[in-house]
Amino acid sequence: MQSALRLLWRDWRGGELTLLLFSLILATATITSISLFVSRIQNSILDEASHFLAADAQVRGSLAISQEWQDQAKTRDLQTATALGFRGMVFSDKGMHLGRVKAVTDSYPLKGEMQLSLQPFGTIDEIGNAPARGEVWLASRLFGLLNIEPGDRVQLGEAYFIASRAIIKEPDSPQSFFGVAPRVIMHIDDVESTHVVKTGSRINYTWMLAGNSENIEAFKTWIEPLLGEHHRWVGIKEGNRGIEGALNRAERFLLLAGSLCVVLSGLAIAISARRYADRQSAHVALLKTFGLRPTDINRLYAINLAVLGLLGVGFGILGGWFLHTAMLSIVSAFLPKALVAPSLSSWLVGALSCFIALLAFAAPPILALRQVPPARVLRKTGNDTLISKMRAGTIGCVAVLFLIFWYSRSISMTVILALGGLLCLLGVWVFAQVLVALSRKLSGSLNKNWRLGLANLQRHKQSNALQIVIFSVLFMLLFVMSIVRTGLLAQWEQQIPEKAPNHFAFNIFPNEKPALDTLLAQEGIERQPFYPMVRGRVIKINDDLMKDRRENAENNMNYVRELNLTWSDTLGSDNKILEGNWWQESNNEELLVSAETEYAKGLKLQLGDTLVFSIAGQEVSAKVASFRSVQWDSMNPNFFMIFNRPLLDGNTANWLTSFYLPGDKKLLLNQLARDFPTISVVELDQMLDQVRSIIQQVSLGIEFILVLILSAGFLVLITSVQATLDTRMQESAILRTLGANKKLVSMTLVIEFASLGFLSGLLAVIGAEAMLYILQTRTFELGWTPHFILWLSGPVIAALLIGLIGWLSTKKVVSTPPLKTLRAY
Amino acid sequence: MIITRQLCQRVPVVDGQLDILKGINLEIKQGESVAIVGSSGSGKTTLLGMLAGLDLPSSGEILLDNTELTQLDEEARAKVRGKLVSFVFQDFQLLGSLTALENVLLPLEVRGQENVEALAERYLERVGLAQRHHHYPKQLSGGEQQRVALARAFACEAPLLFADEPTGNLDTATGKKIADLLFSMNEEAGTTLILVTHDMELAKRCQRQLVMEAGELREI
Ligand SMILES: Nc1ncnc2c1ncn2[C@@H]1O[C@H](COP(=O)(O)OP(=O)(O)OP(=O)(O)O)[C@@H](O)[C@H]1O
Ligand SMILES: [Mg+2]
Repeated sequence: MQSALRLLWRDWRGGELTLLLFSLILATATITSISLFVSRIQNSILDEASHFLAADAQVRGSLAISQEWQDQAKTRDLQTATALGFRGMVFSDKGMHLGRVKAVTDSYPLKGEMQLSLQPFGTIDEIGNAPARGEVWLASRLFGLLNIEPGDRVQLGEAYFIASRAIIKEPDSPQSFFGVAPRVIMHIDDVESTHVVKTGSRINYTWMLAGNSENIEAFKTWIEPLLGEHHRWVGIKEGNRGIEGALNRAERFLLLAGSLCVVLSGLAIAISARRYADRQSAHVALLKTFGLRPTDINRLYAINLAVLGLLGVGFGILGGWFLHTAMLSIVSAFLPKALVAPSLSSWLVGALSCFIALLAFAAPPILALRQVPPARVLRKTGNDTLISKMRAGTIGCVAVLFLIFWYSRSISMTVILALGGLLCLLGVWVFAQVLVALSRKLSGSLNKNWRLGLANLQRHKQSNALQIVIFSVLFMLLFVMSIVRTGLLAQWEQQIPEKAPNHFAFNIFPNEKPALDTLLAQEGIERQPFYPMVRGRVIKINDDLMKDRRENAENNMNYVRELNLTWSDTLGSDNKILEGNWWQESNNEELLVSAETEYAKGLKLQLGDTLVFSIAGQEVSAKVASFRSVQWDSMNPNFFMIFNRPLLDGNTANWLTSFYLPGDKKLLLNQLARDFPTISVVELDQMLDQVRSIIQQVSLGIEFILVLILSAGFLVLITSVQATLDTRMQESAILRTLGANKKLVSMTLVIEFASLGFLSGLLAVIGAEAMLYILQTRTFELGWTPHFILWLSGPVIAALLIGLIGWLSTKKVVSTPPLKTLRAY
Repeated sequence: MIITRQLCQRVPVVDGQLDILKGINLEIKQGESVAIVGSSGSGKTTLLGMLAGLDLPSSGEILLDNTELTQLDEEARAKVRGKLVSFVFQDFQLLGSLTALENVLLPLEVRGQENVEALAERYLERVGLAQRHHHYPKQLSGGEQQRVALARAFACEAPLLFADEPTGNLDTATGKKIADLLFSMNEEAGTTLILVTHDMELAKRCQRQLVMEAGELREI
């Protein structure tokens, strides 16, 4: 043991282990920093997203929450708040209006801020929780509708309240655009005194929960089977349709990035471990002549590996921490002030990856050292590396797949990467053989530099083929990453354009349209087209009553509420017909309807079914002509049902429009509320800003991770070039003693490396395109078009890069006096 | 000390089999010094490797201090080597990352001997490198490196010393000095010496000379 440690120490001192340790530390550090960074950003994003719910999760339903559930939440260390929602008439001395009342407990909101002002549409003067008893807070426009000032008295049911504040922003403001009466917030203990809520009246209960994500998840698992038909669970994603897609894709990207990082680090470790083992075999043979048994050798190197692992994990985690703080400090301007702590598991990811990488990539060649024949001291045997590339490769691949799966928890991602990797490896290998052989044929017609360079390429065929495989897999991954990233960012940008409509106005009567137009035009505000809208319900499907179908519905869609119906000739750009046909203009004798696909699925609708609607007290029947998918997060007005021609006489309809209102023109809403008391305006500007800021954070996170991955890639390039340096050193020394000058030798090396780079780049582009096709169409839903620029630039970039790295790291080869090199061997 | 019976080594080559050793019968007594000469490629190194238990023959027996080597696995052979054998090589085989002193210490430590520092220093002094303890092989000339290798071999105080062309990489004058040192140290220690060489002068300084010819061994 003691002598083992002494040997180890001398190895260290001699610098033999430096490269291996360095790759190990770097691998651990990058994986740790990515997972810390991701975990913190993700936790922070989720935290911010949780503001939309005013909690980490909610249980919504039509019945009160039982004491048992309350107790469970308490024992699981969850904070809770309750909100009761109902509609009620609000009276003032000068008016009355229907309000959407929310009665909350003192603990509300658990997440996010309730922003209040002393004036309607005023500046944020206060951050509040629940109103004091006897007070209510009103939506700004309700002050106008009721014709009152803050501080005036209003009546709700049988109780009187002081309308003390105007609501500027409530964290869990509704994200549906329709049927929104202005908000009234009161204390939950005041509800009883109003006598508005009686058994049988429609009340929504929202039970809000907050706590650490593990506890929330555990609680979700516990409660989900108990929810029944009266309650449903709303998590952060379910509660955020607008950012659900962005969050999902970002998450997938980060997982992909993490997985690639694992692959790259594995490669770097494998290459440097192999190089170490190669250099150690002479050493081992000598030790064997001194009487060391294979078991001793094994023990020696096992200790070696253990120490390596400990150092790698220790320094790696430390490095990862610093790296991630550095990344955070750069993006801090875009992050919420108080970052959420990383989860414990993100610390472990790096450490465990390090150990697994060590076992899978470093251990096989190093532990195979015990097989070095002692007779090697007398005659340098041909194959120094005792573990076959095949076997090492298999062990490595299995480990990589395990790590990717463990990291991404996604079978499909693992399978895609595995298949892609395997196919590419195979293709690359075949190609590499062919191309290397071809380059030999070509070299006859070239000048001296090129001939020598290509001859080198040819001579190192075996190791070069392996290098081409490594380089091209590497470039392939890097190309894929950069392109997916660019696609994602562009898509997000597009999702919420700079001046997307952020206010919706509806309940517009046909005769109000011109006046509204004038007002908007005065302020220089452009509006979107007017959409007609009527409200109605489905009461019969063919001969079945809606009630019966509804009860057998398989999804948790709310089939009870009234639907917003519209009619149109043109299909919205974010709608897609999945089944059936969109109507032609001419064909409008029969009343046809196009239904949203999820809505239709739940009710088991078929094309050709007859739906009977109840609209303004009249029955209207229409035939289902098509099913549509709708992109709900597009922020455009969208409808479950679209008809082919005006319903009834067309006059019962209200109209709806949307417009972009810049922040400094918010006061226009006051005037709007006064001039058009019946028009409702939904303000989505706050929410859109929030979504935008989240997407900005995610994008920045992605940029940084790309940079990290690129650096890990560079490390692999450098280690794998270094790995072949020993032979090249010797060869170039021999070449120079034979009379070749420095310039020739260095030109030869550069040409050899650049050609390697070019071949790898070409292969990488082919592989990348195949992988992009799968990823973009399946995983990221971005759509795929050929990447011509990649085809042109990929091989050139690769040639330049590898040429440069080769030149830089072989500069030493060339400038070392040949004698010194020869003497060292 | 060493007895071989019908030692054969046959290796597969591209076109069939190559018989490197064709039935070697040999007996070497304790304390003897034996030189093996022969043309290049005749199989001298192969034989040396067998005798030292570094390699196994295709057939035949090797008795090393009454231990039948061919019956042992690598573990057991390593143990035998540790007890009985030390080496001097043509290319010195010093570890570049170790100082001269550490190179000498290495086999002693590996064999688990204790308080070996003084011993190693004494042997380095004996080969005339008292001042060079902390120099690395790169800082030493070829002759000096071979002196370190001699110190390392004798410091083990093993009863058998195998030397494969110990002067092969050195110029004549330096080679002569190394050979002088080798023989005088061998005398002091009473080691059994098996020396492979091309150099007849060197061979003549041994008590017995054997010639290797096309895989067969004969006495001169
Ligand atoms: N494992 C092997 N496989 C194939 N051929 C081998 C093997 N080992 C030795 N040989 C061949 O056996 C022959 C004898 O080799 P050996 O090294 O013993 O010769 P040598 O007498 O030491 O020569 P030199 O004086 O040049 O060192 C050589 O032709 C060598 O190529
Ligand atoms: Mg030889």
